[in-house]
Amino acid sequence: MKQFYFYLVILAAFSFSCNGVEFSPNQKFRDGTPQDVNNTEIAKLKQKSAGARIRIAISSDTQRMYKEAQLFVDQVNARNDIDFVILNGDISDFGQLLEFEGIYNIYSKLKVPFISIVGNHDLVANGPYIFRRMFGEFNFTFTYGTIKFVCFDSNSREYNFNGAVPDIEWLKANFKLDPGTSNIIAFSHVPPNDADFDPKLRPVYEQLANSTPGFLASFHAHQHQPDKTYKPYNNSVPFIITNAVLKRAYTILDISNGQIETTPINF
Amino acid sequence: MDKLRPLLLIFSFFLTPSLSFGQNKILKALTPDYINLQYGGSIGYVSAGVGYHFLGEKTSLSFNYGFVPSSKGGPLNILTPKFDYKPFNIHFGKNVVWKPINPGLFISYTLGRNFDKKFDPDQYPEGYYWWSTALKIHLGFSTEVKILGSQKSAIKAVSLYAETNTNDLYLISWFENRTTTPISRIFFMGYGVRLHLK
Repeated sequence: MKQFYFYLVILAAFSFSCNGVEFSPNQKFRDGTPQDVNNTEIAKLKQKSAGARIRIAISSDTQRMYKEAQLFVDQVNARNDIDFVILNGDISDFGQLLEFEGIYNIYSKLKVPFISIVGNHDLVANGPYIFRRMFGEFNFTFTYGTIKFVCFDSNSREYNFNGAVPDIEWLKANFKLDPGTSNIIAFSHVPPNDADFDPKLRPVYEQLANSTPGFLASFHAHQHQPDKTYKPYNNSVPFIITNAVLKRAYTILDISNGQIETTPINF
Repeated sequence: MDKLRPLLLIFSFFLTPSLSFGQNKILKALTPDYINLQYGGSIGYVSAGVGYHFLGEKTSLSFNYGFVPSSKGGPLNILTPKFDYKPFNIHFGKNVVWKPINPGLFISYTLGRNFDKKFDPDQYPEGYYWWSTALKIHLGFSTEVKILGSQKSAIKAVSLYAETNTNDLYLISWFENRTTTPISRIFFMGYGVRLHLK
């Protein structure tokens, strides 16, 4: 009988500690998987009114480092000066639903809206379907105060450098000031000067950004290195590559009077 | 699907109760010890397979095909060879056997264009992504109740089981987050029926 109770305890332990039924680690969604998160968060952002200075916390590359992601969220929640948070790609590592959900569950506890951009790791296996259903489009824009934010997919290697990513035509159409906006800021995961960005499209993108009226800066991630800024030409707009949550770092971006200032933060 | 068709044919052949061909030795050897039907368990919304005992009744090897429909997060087609070890038997009367805890090891292979054994070397530098999107090694624990029937009927016994499993990538992620993530977060359930033919 002793043996019997021993088994009963083991059984109880594993049957009550489980998370329900899984059909495959590669499934695109399950019951309760959040949907359309970016639109929901942008709608929340619209409820807020921008001050003279906009302050954004730029994060990226969480890649299933849940502990670091939680520390980041705690940091942002502890300060009351952030307008919203950017999650600039590589939300997941293996492109699995469990990883997207894991990071969503942590970021959704932010007191401010967060907007997510697709990274190369998010496009692996069924990642593209998971991202699109859970967060939304790969190329999208939103406005806060007088700033237009243009977010796009620059993960060219995932498309085997087919010339369609980044989508230059879409960028041309969206690198345009809308009524009521005075500046443009771009976000994408892979930086133009990276080997994973389509080398044929790099000069096209850089010139386009540089010739766009009101363009302030282009922000990227992917490299997991301390913040770097490069300018392909004299007097070019800055192309800024920020660090990674998995390196316990994020970047504060301040925008006021058509000027930007960035401050890297380590935690 | 083209890749899948011959495999499905083989499976359907196995699934045909072949007892009537008892005289044919080859067929007899091929007749599975059991047929397996499962819901969930990370190898399909539903999966079906055939199993064989070897080295006695405590060990078995089964071959399963699973499908996840679009409405459940698919479409996904998954092939899974599975090894089970059932070390303990607890009898309740003559006809009921409980196998309280049974470790199992299985390899799921997800078919389809989004999944590969290896990332394309023409597209990625060596070591860019180190894992496989198609192949996953799973570790499972099941508990099973076996109800014995008549030795004369085609189905000699029926088992009901519940299984919890995780896989290599989940374990790696858990390990890297082990101070903050409980291990229970990476285990998922499946439920099944086993029809014993021998």
